[in-house]
Amino acid sequence: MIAWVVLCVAWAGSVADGASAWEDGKIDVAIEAWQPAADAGWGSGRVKFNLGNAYYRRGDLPRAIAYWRAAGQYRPRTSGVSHNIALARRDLSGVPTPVGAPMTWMRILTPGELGLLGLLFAAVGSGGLVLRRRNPEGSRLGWVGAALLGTLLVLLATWGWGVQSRSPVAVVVDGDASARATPDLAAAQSLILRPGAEVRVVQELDHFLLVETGDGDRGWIPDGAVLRVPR
Amino acid sequence: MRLLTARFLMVVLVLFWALPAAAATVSLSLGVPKVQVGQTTRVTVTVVGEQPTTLPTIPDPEGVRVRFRERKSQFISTPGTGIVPSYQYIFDVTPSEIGSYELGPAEVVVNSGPILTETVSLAVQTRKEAVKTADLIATTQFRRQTAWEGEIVLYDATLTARVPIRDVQWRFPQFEGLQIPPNVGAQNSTTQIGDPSGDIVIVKSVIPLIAAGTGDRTQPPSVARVSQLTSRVTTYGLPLSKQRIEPGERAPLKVRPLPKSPPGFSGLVGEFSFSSVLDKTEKVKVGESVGWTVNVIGNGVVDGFELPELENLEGVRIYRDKSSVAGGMVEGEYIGRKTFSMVLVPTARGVYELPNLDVVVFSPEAGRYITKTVKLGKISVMGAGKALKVEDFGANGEEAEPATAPEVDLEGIYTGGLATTVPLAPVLPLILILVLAPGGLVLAAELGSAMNSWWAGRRTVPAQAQGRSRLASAPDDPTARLAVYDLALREVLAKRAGVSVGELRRDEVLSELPSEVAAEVQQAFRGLDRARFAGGPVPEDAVDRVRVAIDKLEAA
Repeated sequence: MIAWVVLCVAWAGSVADGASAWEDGKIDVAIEAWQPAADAGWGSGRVKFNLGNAYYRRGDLPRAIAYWRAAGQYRPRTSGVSHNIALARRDLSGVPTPVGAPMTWMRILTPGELGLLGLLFAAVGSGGLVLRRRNPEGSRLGWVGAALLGTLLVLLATWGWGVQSRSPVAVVVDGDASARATPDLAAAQSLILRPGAEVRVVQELDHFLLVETGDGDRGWIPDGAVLRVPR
Repeated sequence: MRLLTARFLMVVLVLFWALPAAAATVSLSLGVPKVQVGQTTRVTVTVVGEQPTTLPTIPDPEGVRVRFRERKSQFISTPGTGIVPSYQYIFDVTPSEIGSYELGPAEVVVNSGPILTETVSLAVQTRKEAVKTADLIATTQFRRQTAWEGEIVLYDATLTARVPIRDVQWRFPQFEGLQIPPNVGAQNSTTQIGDPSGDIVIVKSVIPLIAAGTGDRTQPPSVARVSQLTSRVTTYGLPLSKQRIEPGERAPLKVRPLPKSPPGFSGLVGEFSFSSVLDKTEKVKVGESVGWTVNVIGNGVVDGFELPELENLEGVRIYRDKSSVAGGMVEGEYIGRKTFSMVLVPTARGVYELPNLDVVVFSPEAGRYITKTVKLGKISVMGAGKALKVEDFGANGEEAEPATAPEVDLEGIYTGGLATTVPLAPVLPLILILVLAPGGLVLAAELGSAMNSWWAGRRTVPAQAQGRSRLASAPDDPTARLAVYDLALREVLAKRAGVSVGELRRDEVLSELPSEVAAEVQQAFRGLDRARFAGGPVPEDAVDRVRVAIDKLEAA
C-alpha cells in the first residue's frame, strides 16, 4: 500500500506545469500536461477541474462538462465546479435533464471521504476495546457501537463507489448520438442526444451503451459517441 | 371585420399584455350573439388573477332582463401567464323585445377598486313560433369563405340540439390543402339557450387551420355522431339513448396566393403586433448585461419566424439568448406568440439610439404587405462597471461565440497541488479489516473466555447446592426419597474429602472428622440404612437429621 501511495504521489507536479502553460495562454500545452494524469485513472480533482476549464476555453463544452463532473466526484463541495458546469450548460440547447449523483450523500461526500470517516469510527472502537483491558470493569458497549458504525459507513462507501463505477456518467461529445431501442445500428431510433447531454450508463454490450437521461428516457448508443466521466 | 379585429385585439390585450402587469383582469363574453325574443342565453364575467370582493354587476338594458345564475372557479394556464385563478360569474340574459343591445360594461370590484369590462352585442329577433325545426342540426363552415395563402382559417362545427343529448363526436374531413398548426387542437364549447319550447344545447368545435394550398379548398361535410337520450330507462333507472348521425354541409373556401413578396418578407401572414422591452435604459454601466425582449403576437402562425439579423452598434454588443413559441385557441380565436430574449452589453459610455427593427408581414385585412416597425429606444450608458477585457469579446474586437466569451467568467484553475490522488475507496475493506483487527481480537478473546466460563459453570454443580437442592426436591415415593437423602449426604461428604461420590470411602472420611460431627453423620447414615435395607420404618426426622449433618459437615 505504501508503494501504491508513493507511485501515485510520484505523478504529482503536472498541475503546476500545466498552470504555467495556461497562464501563457497555451491551452493545448496545458491540456497535454494535465491529460496523462486524468487518463491514467489517478487524476486528482484539481487536474480534472483544470482540464474542464481548458476544454471550455477551447470551445469543447461537452468535454469540459465531463471533466468538471469528474472533478465534482472528487470535490463535491467545491462551488467552482457547479458554477462552471452551470456556465457551460447555459450555452447548450436541446439537451435532456442531466443525471445527478447516483446517491444523495455523494453531493456532499466522496466515497473515499465517507470511508475515511467510517475508518475513523472503526479505529476508535477497535482502540477502545484494546485499551479497555486495563480497566475490565468498564463497559464495552460504546466501543463496539463505534466499531459497528464505522464498519457500516465503510460498507456504504464501498457500495457507493461500486455503483459509481458500474453506472458512470457519460457525456455525449462531438456530435448527435442516436439512441436506439436495441443495441443494433439497424434498430429504430428512439431518441436523439445532442452534444453535452449528460447520461448515466446502465449497461454495456458489444460496443453499445444503454444510457438513461435525467428525464428517464433510455436508449442504446454507440460506445464512441460519449465520453465517460473519468474516474 | 373591424369589429372582429377590435374584439381580437381586446382579447389579446386582456389575456397577454395586461396579465403580468395587473393584479386582476376582467372580460365579458356572451354565449350566443343572436337569440329570439323570449329565449335565454348567458353572459359570463371572467375575472382572472384575483377574486372579486362582491358579485359583479351588469346593468339591465331596456327590454332585456339580466339575472345572476352561478359562479365557477378554476385555475387556468394561458401562453405567457402561467397558472392563475379564474372566476366566472354567469348571468342569464332574457330579451323581451327585438333589437340590438349592448350588454355591459360589467363592474367588478376587487381589492384595488372597481374595474369595468368591455361591452358585448346581442341581437334579438322576432320569435318564430310556428316554424317546426329539426331537433338536431349540424352546421359546418369556415368562418370566412376566402383566405390568403398562409393565413389561419377557422373551421366551425356546430351541433344545435333541441332534445337531450350527450357524447357528441365529430368526424372531420381530411382538410386537403390545409394544415393544423403545431401543437394546437380543436377548441370545444357547449352553450345552452333557454327557450319557452324547450332548452337548446349548442355544441361547438373550432379548428384552426393554415391555408397551405391555394385555389378552391372547399371541404366535404363533417359528420356528428351523438347519443340522444330517450324517455325510456334501464332497469337501474338510467336513461336509454339512441345513436344519431347528423351530417353538416360542404364548407366552401377559396385560398388566394400571396402577391409577389417584397425583399425581407418575414413569412408572417396575419394581423400582428410587435413590442420591445429593455430591462434597463438608464444608468447602465459599461459591461453590464441588459435583458432585451421582443414579442410578436397575432392571429397567424409565428413558429418559423425569426428576427432580422441584429448588427452590433458602436459601443453596444448584442447577444441572442433564446426564443419561446406559444400558440393556441383563446376565446374562439387563434393566437400565436413568439418571444425573443437577447442581451445587450455596452462596451463604452454614451447614449445610444438603438435602430428600429423593420419586419415585413402580409396583412390579410389590408390585402397587401406592410412593414411593422419595432422601436427599440435609447440606452444611456453612464458609468464604468466591470472592466471588459479583449478576451471577453474575442480577439481584435470580433464578436466571439458565446461558449468562449461568456459574460460570467469561469472559476479559475488550480495552480498547484497534486495531480494524482490515491484512490482510497477500492482498498477500504482491506484497511477496515486491519483497523478492526486489534479490537476484534481482544473482543473475541474476551468473549471466548466468557463462553468458557459459562460453559464450565453449566457443567460443574456445587456439591452443597446440589445436596440441599436434592433435599428440597425429594420425590414422594418413600424408597426413592431415602435414596435421595443418602445421595445428598454422600455428595457433601465427598466434596469435603475432595473426591467424587464414587470414590468416597465413608469410614475413612468419618474417621478424620471431629467426633461430634462424625457421630451426627454416622447416626444419619444409620437411620437411612436401617430404613432402606433392614425394612425398618422411615424415621419421621430423617430429613432433619440429614440437614443437620450437612450443616455440621460444612461448619467443620
